[in-house]
Amino acid sequence: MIEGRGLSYAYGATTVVRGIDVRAESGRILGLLGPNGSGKTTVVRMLTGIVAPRSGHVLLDGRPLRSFAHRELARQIAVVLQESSGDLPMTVADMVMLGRAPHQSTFSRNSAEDHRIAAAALRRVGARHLADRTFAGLSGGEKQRVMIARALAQRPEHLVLDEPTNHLDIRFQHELLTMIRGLGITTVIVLHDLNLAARYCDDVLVLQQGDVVAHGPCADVLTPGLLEGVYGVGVERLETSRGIQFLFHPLEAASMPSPTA
Amino acid sequence: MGPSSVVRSVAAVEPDLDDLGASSRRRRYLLLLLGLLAVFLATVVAAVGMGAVPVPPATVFDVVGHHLLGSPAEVTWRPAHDSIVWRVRLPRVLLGAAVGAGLAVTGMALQAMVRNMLADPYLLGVNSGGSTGAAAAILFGFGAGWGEHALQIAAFLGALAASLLVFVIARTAGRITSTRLLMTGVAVGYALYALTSFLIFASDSAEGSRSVLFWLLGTLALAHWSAPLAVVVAAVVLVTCLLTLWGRRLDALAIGDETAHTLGVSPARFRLVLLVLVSLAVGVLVASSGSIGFVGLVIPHLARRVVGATHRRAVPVAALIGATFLLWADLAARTVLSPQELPIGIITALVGAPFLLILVRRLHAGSE
Repeated sequence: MIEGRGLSYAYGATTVVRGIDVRAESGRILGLLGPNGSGKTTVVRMLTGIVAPRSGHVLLDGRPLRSFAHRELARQIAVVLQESSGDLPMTVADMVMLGRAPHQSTFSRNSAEDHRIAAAALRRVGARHLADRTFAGLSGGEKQRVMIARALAQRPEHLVLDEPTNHLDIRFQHELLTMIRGLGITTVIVLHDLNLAARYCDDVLVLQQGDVVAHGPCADVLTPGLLEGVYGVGVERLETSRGIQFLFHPLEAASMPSPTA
Repeated sequence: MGPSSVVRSVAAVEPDLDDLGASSRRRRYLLLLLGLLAVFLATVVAAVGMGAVPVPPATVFDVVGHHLLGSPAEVTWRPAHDSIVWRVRLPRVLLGAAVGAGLAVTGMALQAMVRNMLADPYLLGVNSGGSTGAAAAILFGFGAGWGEHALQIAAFLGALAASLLVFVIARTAGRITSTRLLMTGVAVGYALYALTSFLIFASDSAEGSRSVLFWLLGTLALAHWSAPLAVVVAAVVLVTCLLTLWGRRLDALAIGDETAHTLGVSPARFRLVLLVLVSLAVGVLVASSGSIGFVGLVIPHLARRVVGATHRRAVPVAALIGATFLLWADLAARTVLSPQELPIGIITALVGAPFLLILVRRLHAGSE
């Protein structure tokens, strides 16, 4: 379980997250939703210990996040971020092997077991054939898969992903999320696509300008009324034989900002 | 995930046995390392034998064996050869190998640390500080009380002062970031460079100015069997071992601060440790040989091309290539205008600059 209590964060004088509570239940998938600039990435960074909250605290299975040593934490939580990868010509295999680093001591070599775990992680995201390629030379979607493979190679108890479906084609978006469901570990996942969220998340938390506007099971929370208010688009919710589907349309021209403004 | 997305060509490998080709890669790497080591050792023999007075390899082996192991016990060679090999060239070759390896591995660490492929060991102004110290010693007799090692001690103190200054300024606004470190290093470097130039102009010794210029361009001519030589060799061995052991952390840091964090490395703390280690090592190198340019910039790139970017493998390779390269550069410096000696920095820059251009062209071709 990953739990944030009363989390706040500010960049300089700009408060981006205001005293929110987050709860990712054990073995369930929590979707973090909200429009651009609503504070999703900042919440991810606080939940993973990359930044310390201005106020409030994070608990990992009931234990304060701050009490974990760096390597210990990296064995508990794997994180897939949207970050560039530097200029070094690292191969995909090297990149995924780094996922084993939290499990290795300074003096240990990469063991055969480490290599097998990394290879299995690459297979799992359908990227085993990329192993010898240079990471920097991959397409956006391929890079995304490799970073997810690195997170899997960490063999974590918790997984946090910031927009993992970016750059992925539609089939792989579904394959990826199906695979993550199959892991059965506590997962927090930032998503833009509400239909993906409705299909694959157990719970969702909806952010708007740094405040939580809804938190709970998908089917209860994702109502057209709420989504229209948060995203500023018209929403139609369909109950299909394959679950909830949303249709979106622009709101009345009167309520839209003028294009010449 | 659907089995359909698993690519068939690699599915042929039994998944339970798939180790990403690690065992064959490891074999190739060990072979490469052995090959580089052989080339390095051959270079050592050549560098000791060649020069204004050539000494045959057999004599080189005899002299070294005689002094180190007492075998052969009987001296059958000319005393001049003995003196040239043992007292002049061998310490110089040892210093050259250590400095070349040291510059290469510290350059590699700094490139990872600030995530900038143009970084080199002198990025943090360490060499400028060393040069200021050396200029003060040569031109104004600073540290004359320290006896024969006054120059090295003054240069080391200058280097240390410069890194301390960079460190304190880069840290004032909180934690140390790559950009802040980079900009502080450049600023302090320029200021100290100006100070060195001022010292040269303020002094009226033409010969002293020439010595300082020689120092600024780098030289191995000060090498002899002495405590400073032992310090240089020990420092380079230590820093090479540590950077190799910390290879995975360097990889993580080179990717990005947040990624490093998620892989269990505290970027701020690790950068601090690296900063102290590298500054001390470069200070020792500058004190022993002045600022030899381009080695710390170019050799890391070459090593990565040969063996890939993982630091566990790239650091030892860079050390061997750096050591070998600097020995050949020094041989050129000793022989091109023989009997006059050139500053080695002229050679390394002449060879290094075109080499860097070739690498840049390849780099671009590779990423597109």
